[in-house]
Amino acid sequence: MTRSVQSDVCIIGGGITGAMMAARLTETTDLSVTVVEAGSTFFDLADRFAHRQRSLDYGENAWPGDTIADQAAEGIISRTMALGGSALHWGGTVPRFSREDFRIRSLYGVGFDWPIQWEDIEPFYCEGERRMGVAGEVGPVGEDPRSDPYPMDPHPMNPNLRAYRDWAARAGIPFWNTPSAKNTRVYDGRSICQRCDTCTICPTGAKYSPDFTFQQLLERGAIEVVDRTLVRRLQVDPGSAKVVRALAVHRDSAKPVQFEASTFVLAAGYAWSSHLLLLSAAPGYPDGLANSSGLLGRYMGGHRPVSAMIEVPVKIYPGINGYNTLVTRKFMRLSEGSPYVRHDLRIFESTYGRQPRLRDDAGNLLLGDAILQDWRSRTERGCARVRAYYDVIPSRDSRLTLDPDRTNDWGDPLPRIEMLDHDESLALRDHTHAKIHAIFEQLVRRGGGRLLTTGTGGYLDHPCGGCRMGEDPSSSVVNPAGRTWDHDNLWIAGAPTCVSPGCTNGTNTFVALTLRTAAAIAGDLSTAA
Amino acid sequence: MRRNKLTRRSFVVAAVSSATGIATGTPQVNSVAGPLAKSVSVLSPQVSPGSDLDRELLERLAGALLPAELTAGERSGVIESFLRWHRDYHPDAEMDAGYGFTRLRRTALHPALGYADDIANLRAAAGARFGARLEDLDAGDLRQLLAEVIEQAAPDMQRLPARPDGTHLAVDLLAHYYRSSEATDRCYGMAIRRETCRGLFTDVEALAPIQPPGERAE
Repeated sequence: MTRSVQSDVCIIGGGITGAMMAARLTETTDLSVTVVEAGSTFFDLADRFAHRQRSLDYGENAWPGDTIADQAAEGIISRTMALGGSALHWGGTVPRFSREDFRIRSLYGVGFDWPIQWEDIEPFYCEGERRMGVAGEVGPVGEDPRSDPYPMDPHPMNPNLRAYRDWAARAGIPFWNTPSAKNTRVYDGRSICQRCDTCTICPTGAKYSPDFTFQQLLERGAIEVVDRTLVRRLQVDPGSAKVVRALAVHRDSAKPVQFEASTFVLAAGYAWSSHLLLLSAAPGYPDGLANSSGLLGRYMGGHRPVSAMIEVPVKIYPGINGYNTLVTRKFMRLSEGSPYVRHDLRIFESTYGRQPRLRDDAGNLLLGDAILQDWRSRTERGCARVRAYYDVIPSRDSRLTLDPDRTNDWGDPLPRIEMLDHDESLALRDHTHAKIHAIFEQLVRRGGGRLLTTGTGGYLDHPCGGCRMGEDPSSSVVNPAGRTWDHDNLWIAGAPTCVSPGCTNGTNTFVALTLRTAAAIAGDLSTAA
Repeated sequence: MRRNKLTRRSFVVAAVSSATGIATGTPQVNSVAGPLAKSVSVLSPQVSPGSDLDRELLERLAGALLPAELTAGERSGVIESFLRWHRDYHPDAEMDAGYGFTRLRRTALHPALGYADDIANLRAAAGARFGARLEDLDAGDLRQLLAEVIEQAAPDMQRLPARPDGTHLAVDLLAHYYRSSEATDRCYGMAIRRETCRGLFTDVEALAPIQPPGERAE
């Protein structure tokens, strides 16, 4: 017998997008909300010290059980599937996109303009920062206008960060604290950061993760969560084109579960949102739901990291708190007439070339005092990892498809993601890398030190897209609020709706977009009522 | 690296052996056929691998391998921690799936599975090379002997592994110590206290120096 779960709103996906959507909807409406999550629930703050220690000592997963073995997509960058999603073990880094990100075609003649502007999203940045609890500071080169200050003071700068900041300042590049969702005071019932230096498993709860939101909502009886349940198809009423149910399977019992709601929200992130819509192909929708434009799963993007390891002319003491970093937004704005290159720049603690070793450069074996002497000799000067994220304009053919060769345990094809640069980005790539390398060299030339290595990341980070928003149904999957053009009770939230990936960490933007979509859903349903 | 990478076959054999108590090999330390035979030979269903290590011998090895500036008490602490680490090791435990390029991974077979062989081989080499028992070698000879076996066991290793991985008892002891927060502090001469929860405003101005070798209590 099929279990049936009814609610006003069914949110598919229990990551940070689902958490923000559920929190806002339940606070601003009387709607009943169900969240469906394929993975497990971990409300395990009490166990985190122990898990953290096992992770440090033995390399064990600090979030045991947070993956589903058969849900493995080619091209995904995180395997986490659990209530809380990838943001269970994120680093908590939350810069905003810049004002320019939303209109690079108009300003610079490349890429795509978004159908929304800075002013449309800025209030939701503020709201997201309040909900997560963000500590930050406005840097010396100024940021885009903020209508609210950061909710918390920035993290104090430790001696390593001060040394890096002063070094970079000699090169004329101002750096400051990277904003982070980690408490600098007791906030929302969670602890102040203790600088444990293991932010991917924060043992104190000072770092925001969506499980806290879900726990609060459940304790208030505001939502129902159905976990370990994989949604396999959305079913559409052929007459109205509305989504009438989500067909799922409970992963333990293998029993079918169906979710019925007047509104469905896909909050399953950049990979699984497009994937579910493609899986839901049906008569009348042979290419998947919400795909009348033919763009479902397309224009997937992310930013490409370009890094350098730089020996700095000062002593650094790696291990004080490597997860706190410096950032500059100096390079997110273009000088007039310059070819298009926009990127952020961050400085991280590094032990590159400064770890204990068994052999010296000549290959001689070191034992006893020799290891320590060799190690000390290499730590007189520290190392900085300097990394830029530059935005890659997504190609139409940068896409998620159903993998013809791989299925999960239920026989459903898995996603395959292939990210491709737009021709404009390809044409700019050499110039982009050269500009970023020139900044590395400027740091060395004027700040002192030595460029040790440079490298380019092999994947695009903070992926997004696949269900891009737009004002024209023929060139987008959702409208500027996140509603699909083809099914008026089906909404998509967060990362998949992005038009372009920006040139800095994406989570704060995904959250703001989600809150904006939640506001639109609430408005829509109250109008309908 | 010569052994203890968890293969499906080795794990199944080891698991069956462990669960049933059936000995699948006899310790013939100088005529081990290969990694699998060696690994299985010292398995015991009751005793955690490494738990029967001779503490006194480990202390002697530590004396040759670790920095001389460690006090006897500090060396003892390293051995204690090394033994505890092995006691609490879980083979085939879930590991982090990674970010960017993901894969599901499990921890390898117990790193200590081959230590009995390592010790037996060291004893044999001490006899052959110096005509003495391992326990009777002076520090210089012992270090020379250890250098030779490490050259053999880890001919290409430059960086010490992040944690013991069964390469060789001596290498694992080095990794265990040198990859620790304590060793980092000693290298830098400062109380960095890596991965220690410390309070948001502690150490913000400056780190505290650690006591130099001559001033630490035994």
